[in-house]
Amino acid sequence: MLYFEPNFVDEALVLLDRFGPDARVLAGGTRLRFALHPGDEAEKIALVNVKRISDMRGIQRAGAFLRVGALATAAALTADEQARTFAPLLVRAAESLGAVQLRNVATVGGNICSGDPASDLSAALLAYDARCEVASSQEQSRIVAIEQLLSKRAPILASGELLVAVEIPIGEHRCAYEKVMTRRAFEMALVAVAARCRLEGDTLNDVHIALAGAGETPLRAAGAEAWLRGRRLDEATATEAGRVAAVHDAKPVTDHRAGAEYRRHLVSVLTQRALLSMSSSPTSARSNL
Amino acid sequence: MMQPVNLMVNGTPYELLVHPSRSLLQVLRDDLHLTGTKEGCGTGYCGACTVLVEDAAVNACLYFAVDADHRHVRTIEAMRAPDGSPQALPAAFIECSGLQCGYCTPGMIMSAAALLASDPSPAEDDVRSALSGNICRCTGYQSIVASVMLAAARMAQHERQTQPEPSPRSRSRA
Repeated sequence: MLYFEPNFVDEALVLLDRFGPDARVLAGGTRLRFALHPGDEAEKIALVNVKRISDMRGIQRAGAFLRVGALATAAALTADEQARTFAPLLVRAAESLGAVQLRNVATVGGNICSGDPASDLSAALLAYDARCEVASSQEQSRIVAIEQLLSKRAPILASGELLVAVEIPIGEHRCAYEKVMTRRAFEMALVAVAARCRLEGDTLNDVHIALAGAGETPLRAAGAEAWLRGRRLDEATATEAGRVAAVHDAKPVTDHRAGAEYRRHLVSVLTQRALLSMSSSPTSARSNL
Repeated sequence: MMQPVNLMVNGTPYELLVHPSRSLLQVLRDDLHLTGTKEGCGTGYCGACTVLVEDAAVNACLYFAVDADHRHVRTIEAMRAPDGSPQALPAAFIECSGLQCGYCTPGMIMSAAALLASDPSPAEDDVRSALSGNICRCTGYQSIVASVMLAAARMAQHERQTQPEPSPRSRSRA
């Protein structure tokens, strides 16, 4: 196995090109250790540790977006004042991720690129309609909607591509993150619902709902979002939206952690809870701050 | 291909040649013979291998040893006083019987050490939350939480005793 620590995105891209499918990008490393196959093919694998690349680090405001480097860890998100102000939903998802040992190393980029359907951070980023900055040696860097990246199972990126950062649009919104696990902490979500909206009086606008653990990829609940647009937020609305999300949007699968029907039930209940909690949650991320 | 790695472990510098696929846990135990850190599940679920890298608790089984190059690592072996006696945390675990088989204990203590470094007087809930990535299959956790609370109290008391008494003038000003 070869090992590299490139200093710049361009340097990393040269390595990713040269080693193609044998290149492995190392960020937090929590998934990568198990993707390696020691013995049979480990000798031709090139481990590309991207920790030195400053373009992939940091959390800062960039115009109308909060730019989060792909190397930002869950712990860094929870501690960051700008993230708490402008992306509170992402912070809540980060707080619920794993235990402290994982939050200290797990990165935004790793969460997206591992393609985990139950990823907390992916669900929150979906609800934000985040944009992803993807670099490759073919084109300087392209901006891809997170929904497009997450619409297929891993590998999320093509060979030779590198996720550099995500950009979260800044705007006034309410948000909610609801998650059910098999224990109170340190578990993957069986199902999680990330939601954000604007409320004008009681009227719902700009509703975004993302589901984790409700399909083979993280999903947007587009049916429920469309049904909710312009409606008054009350208990009956929330209940019906939960039903729509469960019946029309969720594509749950059965695995060793939960059955598909139980997951569908959780989508309904958690969507309802998320919507109702937004009716009382404070508005955050004022763009005029 | 072996990779040169400079590690600072418990204040001691080491220069090693490490295969890039090896975990920090393997290097600590097999190369440095620091066998206090235990391998439990080897998949990041049990926390038995918890060590501190730059003061942050991590699972050593998931951490690439090459990624620890030029970083400070702290393990259970560091948790003793200069005279060899246990520091406040392990001492409290002994006093409160915060262990039965003891296999999870090094990881528990390192997670607790990370907590107490950032929050010297945690509430019981904070302790449970900080230890949620450490699994014990013997104790039921009650005595472990009690151990951490006792250690926090002892350390706070020690802190008060070793701080210089405020001078009469500054006291009167307060």
